[in-house]
Amino acid sequence: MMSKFKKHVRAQTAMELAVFGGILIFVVSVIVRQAMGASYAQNQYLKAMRQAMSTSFRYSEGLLGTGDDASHNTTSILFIEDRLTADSAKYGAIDRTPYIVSGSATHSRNLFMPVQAGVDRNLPVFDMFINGKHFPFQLARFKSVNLAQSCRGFVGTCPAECKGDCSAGSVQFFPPSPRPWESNCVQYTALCEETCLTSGCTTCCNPGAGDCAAGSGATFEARIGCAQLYGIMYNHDGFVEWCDGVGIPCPSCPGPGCNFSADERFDLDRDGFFGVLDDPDEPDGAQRETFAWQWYSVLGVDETEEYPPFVYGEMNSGSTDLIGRGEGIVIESIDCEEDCDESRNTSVDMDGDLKREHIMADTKVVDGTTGVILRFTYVMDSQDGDLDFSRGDSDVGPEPGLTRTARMYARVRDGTYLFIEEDKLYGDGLQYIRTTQKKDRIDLIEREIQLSNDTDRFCDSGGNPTAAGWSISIPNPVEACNNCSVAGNINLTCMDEDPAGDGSRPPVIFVRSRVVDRHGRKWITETTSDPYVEFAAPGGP
Amino acid sequence: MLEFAFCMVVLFLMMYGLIMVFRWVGLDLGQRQQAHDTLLRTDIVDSYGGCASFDAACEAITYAGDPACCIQWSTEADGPLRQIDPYFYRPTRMNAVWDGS
Repeated sequence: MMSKFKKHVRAQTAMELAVFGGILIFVVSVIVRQAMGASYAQNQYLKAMRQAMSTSFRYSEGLLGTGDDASHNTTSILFIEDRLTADSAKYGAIDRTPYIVSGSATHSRNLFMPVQAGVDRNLPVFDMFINGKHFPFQLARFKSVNLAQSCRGFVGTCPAECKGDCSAGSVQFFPPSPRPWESNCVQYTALCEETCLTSGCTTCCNPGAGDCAAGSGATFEARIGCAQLYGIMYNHDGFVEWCDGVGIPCPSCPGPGCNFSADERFDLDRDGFFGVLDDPDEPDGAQRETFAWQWYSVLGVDETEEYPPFVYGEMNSGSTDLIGRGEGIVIESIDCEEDCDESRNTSVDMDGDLKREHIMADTKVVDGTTGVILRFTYVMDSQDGDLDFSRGDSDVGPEPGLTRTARMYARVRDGTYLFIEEDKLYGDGLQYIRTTQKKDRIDLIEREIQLSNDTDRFCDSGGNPTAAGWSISIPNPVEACNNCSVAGNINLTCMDEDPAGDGSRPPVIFVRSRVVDRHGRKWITETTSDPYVEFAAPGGP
Repeated sequence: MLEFAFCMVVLFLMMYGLIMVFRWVGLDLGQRQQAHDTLLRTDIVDSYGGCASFDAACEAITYAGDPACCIQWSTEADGPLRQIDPYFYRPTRMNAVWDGS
């Protein structure tokens, strides 16, 4: 008995060492794994912040871009990297963990530099880096907006907005496309003598009665319509135009400060229905006193020359008075150096998407006869870029940006990839045999980026990757367009321009990261002449 | 006794390894943060992209700030870019076994 006990005691030290060592190695491995994760995260965080600062600085200083490039005055960067984790798998580390970090920075050198319309390099850009592939997404787009079209000499059925005057001398306007319209926008008074001569007016004056004769002194008046635009007024003491109809009464019309009624101001979706019974989500009663914002009427009238309250056009001998409900627009030239007007109402909703566009300076086209009716302008629309980050709860359609979908593939041979999927294989009443094969390493990681609009920046109208606008330093990240799942495109970053097949869904970019496998090993051993075990069942007697 | 001594040696090696792991874990995180903070406060050439140093004798003959008197030009990299280099740090080598360098 004693000898047995002694034997047992001698073995106990080694066993304890083995158990303790095993636990220790496990603890160490957990520490190493966690430390690697923390190190990756810290490295990504600092790198993203520094990359954002560096990019903003380089663009502002002209070291990147074209030298007067305002696209990265404020730089936002998103890093997504699938890093290998510390692992003890048989063929090396195969597990990957996505690290997603963003950084943003602003270099103020060109922060207040006026942006020229139509110069796309000045549009704000959001930089996304997915496993080293750079996706510079534009967050806005320049576009032209036709606000009013002259009724003068209109061929065809005279639009109702022309008020029956489509003659060669008409001073009326109508909307080029269906849009909100203020029919009594300005009042225009002109001498028949000059208007007849210059415009051939026949309906406003009576040539037979001598109105058009030199020195007749006859005048005519017309009430002219213009585009109804929508600005925003904020509930703050600095905005004296704010009214809620409860504590602060709204100005009556006609009169100074004439604008929308309180109901119209708080009709947030502008569907024409007011009050909590019709629109439960819209503020009513006392709620309006503490609500943050309201709509404010802005008219498609240029008031840059004189403001306020009335505008006097200098064309011919005519004069124009603003009589509509709302304010006009004041937008000064970027070249103005003296006696410049302060811009006003330059951010208004022009396209009816319930979000405002920014009017670009020096792009307005004002009607020459009245001198005030705004006919055309360029705007910067933050909802028309590659990604619309102004999206709200009331917007329809898919959410732009990275989707929750991520797929992983293992490469078998060119054009053939196995989809790696892990899911439950029980509970549905069926039986499965789960087989595992050696090839379980991830070779391809696929993510989806849902775009807001097809801007033709990545794929042209012919369905090919766009070459224009890209450079060697910043190449087009999209390598193929459409048919993204065919063998030739399965490993390429591909943009599906019509993912729904009926044009109802904006394009989707499938980002395929071909992960570099530096840990793989391959041995080939000739075994033709080796003896082997034949598992085939022997033939019967 | 021999078995006990052997186990103690192995135990010390394990403890040494554990300490080295702790050291590496702390060093990598701490040194990266320290390098980041230090680099952000690094001196830069205020006149980056221009002349960093003039020849005083030359300036006495011509005028102060004469580009012809510049004896050392700086580049944009001498400016804030020096402080905000995104690739400012290399991970600390683990050296759990020995220093391979």
